[in-house]
Amino acid sequence: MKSLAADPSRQTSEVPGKAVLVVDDEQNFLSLLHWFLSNRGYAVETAASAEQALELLEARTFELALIDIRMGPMDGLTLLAELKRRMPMMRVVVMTAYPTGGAIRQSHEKGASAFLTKPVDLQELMKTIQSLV
Amino acid sequence: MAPAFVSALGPPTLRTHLVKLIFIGLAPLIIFSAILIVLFARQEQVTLTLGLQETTRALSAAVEKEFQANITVLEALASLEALDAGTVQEFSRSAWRVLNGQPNWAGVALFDTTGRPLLANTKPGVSLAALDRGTLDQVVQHKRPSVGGFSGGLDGRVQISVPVVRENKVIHVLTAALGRDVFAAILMRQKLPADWIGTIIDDRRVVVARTLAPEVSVGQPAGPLLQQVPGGEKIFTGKTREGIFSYAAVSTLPYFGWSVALIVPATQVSGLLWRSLASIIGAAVLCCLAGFWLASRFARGLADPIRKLSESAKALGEGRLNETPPALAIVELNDVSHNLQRAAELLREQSRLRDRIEAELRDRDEFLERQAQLLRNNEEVLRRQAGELEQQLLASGRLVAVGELTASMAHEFNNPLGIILGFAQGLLAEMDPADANFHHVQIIAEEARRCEKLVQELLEFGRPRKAEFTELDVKPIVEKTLDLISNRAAKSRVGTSVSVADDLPRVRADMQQIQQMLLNLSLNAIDAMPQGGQLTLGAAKNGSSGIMLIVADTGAGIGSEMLPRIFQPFYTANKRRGLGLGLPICNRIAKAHGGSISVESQPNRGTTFRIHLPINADGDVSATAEQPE
Repeated sequence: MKSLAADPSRQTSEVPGKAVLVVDDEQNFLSLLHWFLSNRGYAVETAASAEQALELLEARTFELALIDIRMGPMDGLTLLAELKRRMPMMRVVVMTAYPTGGAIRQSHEKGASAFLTKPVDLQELMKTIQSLV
Repeated sequence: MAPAFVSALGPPTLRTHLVKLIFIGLAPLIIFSAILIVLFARQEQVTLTLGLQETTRALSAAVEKEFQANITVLEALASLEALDAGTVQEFSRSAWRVLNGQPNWAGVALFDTTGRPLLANTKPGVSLAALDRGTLDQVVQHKRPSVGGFSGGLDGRVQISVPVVRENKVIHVLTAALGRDVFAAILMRQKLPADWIGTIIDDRRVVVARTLAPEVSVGQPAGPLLQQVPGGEKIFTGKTREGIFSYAAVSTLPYFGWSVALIVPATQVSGLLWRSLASIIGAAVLCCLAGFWLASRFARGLADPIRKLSESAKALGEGRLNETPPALAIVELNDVSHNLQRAAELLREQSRLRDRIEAELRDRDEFLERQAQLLRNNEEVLRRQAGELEQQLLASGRLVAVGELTASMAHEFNNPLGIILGFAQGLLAEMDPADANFHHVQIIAEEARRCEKLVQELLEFGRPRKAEFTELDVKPIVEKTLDLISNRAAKSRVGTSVSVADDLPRVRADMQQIQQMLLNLSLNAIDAMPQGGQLTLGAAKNGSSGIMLIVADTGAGIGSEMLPRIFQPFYTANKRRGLGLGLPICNRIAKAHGGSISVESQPNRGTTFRIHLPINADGDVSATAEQPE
């Protein structure tokens, strides 16, 4: 918590930050990340489903996407593949409450840059994002 | 050398046997010879006695012939006509003539029928004896010639009388006196062997002539031997006058009663027998001595190889199997030697076989001992596991419920908790610590974190992650654990230290699970030291095939009544700290690695947990241990 408070990225709110897309079917989680990342200077868009995320992607691009695996009807891994197909340069971080070996392997195969286990430790999330974009 | 015939001291020696053999061979020969000799000697004796008898008979015939010759001369003289007329002077002249013509005659005498002398013509120095009664009866009554007894010593005489018959009537008795030389001459003529004694005795058993010592015997009664002379012809034994035991052959003249005897010393008759027997005995003794000597020499010759053989057999008996039996000069012994050699080879082979079998048995014993040890260990493990199973069974009611609960709900808690915690953390980062609500948000974050931890525990316990074994070095894990807990430790004023052995081998293990165990134990340790203390993390070798991780605190310790239960699920000392699943999870992880956890605790002194891990955990033992070269 101290390290969060000392995060230098918080001071760059005036400058348009890097565009981050967060996809999760949990509305409160989306709110948390939106609030947390916006406070740290990122331009955050949220989507409650994979379909919604793909719709958003029609209109604009993102430098980073944080996506949950377990969603319906399209799941996170399918979305990951689609995202990487449309925008190969976009960095994708996969988050899941079920960090099975298969899920981790598939994520990397499909082009995920990082893998986080839910509940996500915000400090760890911050470090991951900073290392990617 | 041992005495040959001392059989009481043990079985007889070879020499004894050989000597016996020689004796057994000689004995029939000796006995046969002895029998032959005895038979031969008997035959000789018979021949001798027959000869003796023959000679005696010849001698007595000679004596009788002498008598007859003299009687014939006397009868011729008695028939002279001069006696018809009874003119003694005329007859005397005729008598002188005859007397001078007979050198053996000592005198001639004429008696009337009553025994009165009518005429006595004698050679010088000779006197004639009167007629005795017996002679007179014989001659006058029976009209037969008579030979009187011998009288006198060496110059003694024998008187022979014949009747002078005229017209069948005895008118005178005519007597001639014979010197004893006649009889000595008869004996001399026979030319007897030197040691034979010829004797002539008259009808009164007075010696008339004798070849041996006549000067002391003639005219004397016969010696003890001839005193027993019977009539007729006979051979008998007895002692002579000189005391010599002798054989005597006697022949008695039937009419005159005189006897002739030939005496042979018994030594001469049986001497041959004794000499022959002595020769035989001497020869036998010589043979025996020679046999004894030969037997000894042969025995030595035989005994030498036998002794060598015996030494070989002894060596064999004492297990000296490498000595080669000697080659011997006797075929049979050589065979024995060969057989001994074969026996030695056989024994050597058997000895080798025995050694091998013994070695195998020893190996098998060791193997069985190890197996038994393993079985004992297994038994102990099984007993322990049975106890644990029993304890787990007690908790299983709760376990099943928890398992289901965690499966369905833990994740559902996770996300809301994450969100709550996220906002709380975010808020805390935004808020001024002086704000009145800052502490309240802190509490929200804290409780959310505690919930998160409980959910994590439930998740771990209810649905353990599948272990992924890799070969790893535990040192970084220990150090990382220390990093992870350093904040908490500092907050509780707990000092930390690490002690990892340098030569620690790498182990096959799941890194995350090892990390979790160390973390669980370390957090427990910090919780056990609310007033501060010292936490030590360590790692060391555990024998040659394992390592040991150590987590030691200096806290309150665990009561001995609680110790057996701390690995049971849901057993917890402090409800606020957790569900009581931390140690059961550690226990399960350790077992999944083929290891174990032990605990040692002293109240108010502290607690030490030791995690024993094998170098090759079960999961991949076969892949590492049995890789072909």
